[in-house]
Amino acid sequence: MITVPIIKRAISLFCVAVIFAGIVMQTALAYEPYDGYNYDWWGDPVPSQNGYVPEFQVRGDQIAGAGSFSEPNDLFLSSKNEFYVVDTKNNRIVVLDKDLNFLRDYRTFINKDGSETTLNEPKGIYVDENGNMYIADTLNERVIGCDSTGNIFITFMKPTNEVYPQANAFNPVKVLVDKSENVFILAQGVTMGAVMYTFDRESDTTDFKGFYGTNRVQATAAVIANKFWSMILTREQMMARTRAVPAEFENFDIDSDGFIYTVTRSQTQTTGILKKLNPAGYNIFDKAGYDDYYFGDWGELWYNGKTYKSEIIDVDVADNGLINIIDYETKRVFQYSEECDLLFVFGGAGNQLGLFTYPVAVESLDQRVYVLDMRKNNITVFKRTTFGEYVHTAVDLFQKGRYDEAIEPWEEVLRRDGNYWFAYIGIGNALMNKGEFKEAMEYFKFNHRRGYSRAFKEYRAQVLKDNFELIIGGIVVIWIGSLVLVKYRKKKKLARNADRSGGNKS
Amino acid sequence: MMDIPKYKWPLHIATHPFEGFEDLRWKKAGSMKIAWLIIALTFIVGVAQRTLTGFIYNTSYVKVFNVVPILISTIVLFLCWVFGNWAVGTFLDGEGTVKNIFIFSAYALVPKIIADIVIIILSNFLLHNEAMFINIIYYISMILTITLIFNAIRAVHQYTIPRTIAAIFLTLVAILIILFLIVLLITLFQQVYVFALTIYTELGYRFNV
Repeated sequence: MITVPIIKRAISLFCVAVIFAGIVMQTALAYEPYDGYNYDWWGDPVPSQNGYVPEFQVRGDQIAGAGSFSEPNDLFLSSKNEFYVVDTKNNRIVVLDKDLNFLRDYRTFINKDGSETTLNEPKGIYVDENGNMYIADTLNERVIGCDSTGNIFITFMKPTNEVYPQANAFNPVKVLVDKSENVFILAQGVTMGAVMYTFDRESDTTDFKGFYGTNRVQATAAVIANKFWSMILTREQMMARTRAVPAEFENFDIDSDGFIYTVTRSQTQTTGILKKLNPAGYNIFDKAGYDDYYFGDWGELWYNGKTYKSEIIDVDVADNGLINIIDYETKRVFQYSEECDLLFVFGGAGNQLGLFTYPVAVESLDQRVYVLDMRKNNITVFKRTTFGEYVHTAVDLFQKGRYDEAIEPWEEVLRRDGNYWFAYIGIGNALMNKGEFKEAMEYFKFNHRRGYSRAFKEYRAQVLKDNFELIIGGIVVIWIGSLVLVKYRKKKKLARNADRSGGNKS
Repeated sequence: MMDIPKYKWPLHIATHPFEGFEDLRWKKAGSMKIAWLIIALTFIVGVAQRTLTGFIYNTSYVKVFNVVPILISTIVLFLCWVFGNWAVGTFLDGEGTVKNIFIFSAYALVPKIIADIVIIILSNFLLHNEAMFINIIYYISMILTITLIFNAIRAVHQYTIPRTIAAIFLTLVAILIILFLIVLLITLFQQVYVFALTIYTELGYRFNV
């Protein structure tokens, strides 16, 4: 009779412990306002661990000396690890160090003749290795190049060449400079690609080189119908119809090898949302219509009575090759590997820490990702989780072809998230290297068709080789057996016929 | 001559695509049981195609298995074909009865079934870049099956070639009409059901208060 109350007490204690643990765990979970996910073989989203969690967010007026931001449009991380914030409505450039402490800001710039000039709603900036700034001074219709003290050494105006549509205004929004000082400018409403300039410092001349990396018009039903009408209608009638123009680039970034990554903000275009352009302007992320790369969320999502379709508005390429893009529609950041494999999805719409109302720019440094929010006027800093660290280590080894070393971090990834598809491919490749083809096939199945095919080829050859005598023996036995059977049946038939004819005779 | 047991006739026709059906008609050797068996086999092969095709060649969404689309694309479609063809045949002086059309059309599907089974087996042994073999088998079986269906309709109705072509085209139209009518019927009955349900709930409200 004594045992019962003890059990009762133990049960109640256990219950309390469970409830307590539940509360503690809940607060721990509430830390991340979003759920990580990834896509499986069939394109269904599956929950995944978070690769990045928000660390802190900071507004301009929370940074000593910086003053509040007003609709900042661009965030740029220079090679000296300084953040340049384009504070659009305040007409200034703010420079922060890598811990987001205020260093300096630029409000006035000095022309070559010594006079001062100011910016008018600048929207983009690029800083080269020497600290020279190239600022897209949007409403002043120019791009200025100046050194780190604010002395302008070059100004790019609207191209006078006929190739540039002269009726268009020249409102530069983003700017990039490659190592040989070619300047690429994205201007509002210019659909032909990036305006490309070269310049000469001594003679103070700029040379318009044409357009770079134009998007193509996607062959939608409307475009094909237009093509049909153009055969029937006169030129004047055609002019009155709406013309199909390619979507303009929304933003771009350049990697350490000089490849330019462009993103297109479009809900109708499906291919070439993110392009990796080589110096000739050819898109490397292109499978020529077969099994295209997909960026952002797959297809259209329907949630709470509203349809969502990804609109990518910024791209950032880290030094280690990882690609971060911002989806304006769902306000999420998608992180891809160098080969466009989706690694993590984080962020979302909202006001909590880690959510955005209008994310415009993303940058990454080491284990952190920085996102600038235009409407919240702040910078959110995301920090990599342990899970993210394992994935990055594994992906890095995987892309260097060191599959065997990658197997350990991949297995750790799978222990933490059994749905992480990329880990199966990684382990599959490692098993292929080891010669364990049957196991590799199991890992590739429902994750990678080509990998499965490769593993299966080896496995098939192995099985054939191991059972060569058996197979050849089997074929010979069947061959002889069938010969004997045919002969036997023939004999039987002959005998039957003979019987019948014999019967007829008698 | 032609003393073939009934169960061997489908294979005889598959190997003699041009005179096989005339022989069948002449001998009256068609069997409804075998025809039903062939139709059941098309359905089973349809299921096997979804579930047993090797991973390299399997493009279906294997997370969910639903038998209804396969049922519709095999048995229902075949029955529509038979009745559609019979309807067209009565217009175009065809000699075929429903039973004969059923038997002849079913017998024409034999090479397709055999090829599908071979493809399912091969898909488990072939690589991604060896799809050529599967394609060849597929195309040969398709050509043979179309030839057989054509000759089946020609033989069962004793048509000339142009008339057979017209009959097949009209049968396809008839299938569409049949499917349209079925959908219409379903929606109408649904509306009747909703109407009855509304009255029931309305009455329920009145009497409860």
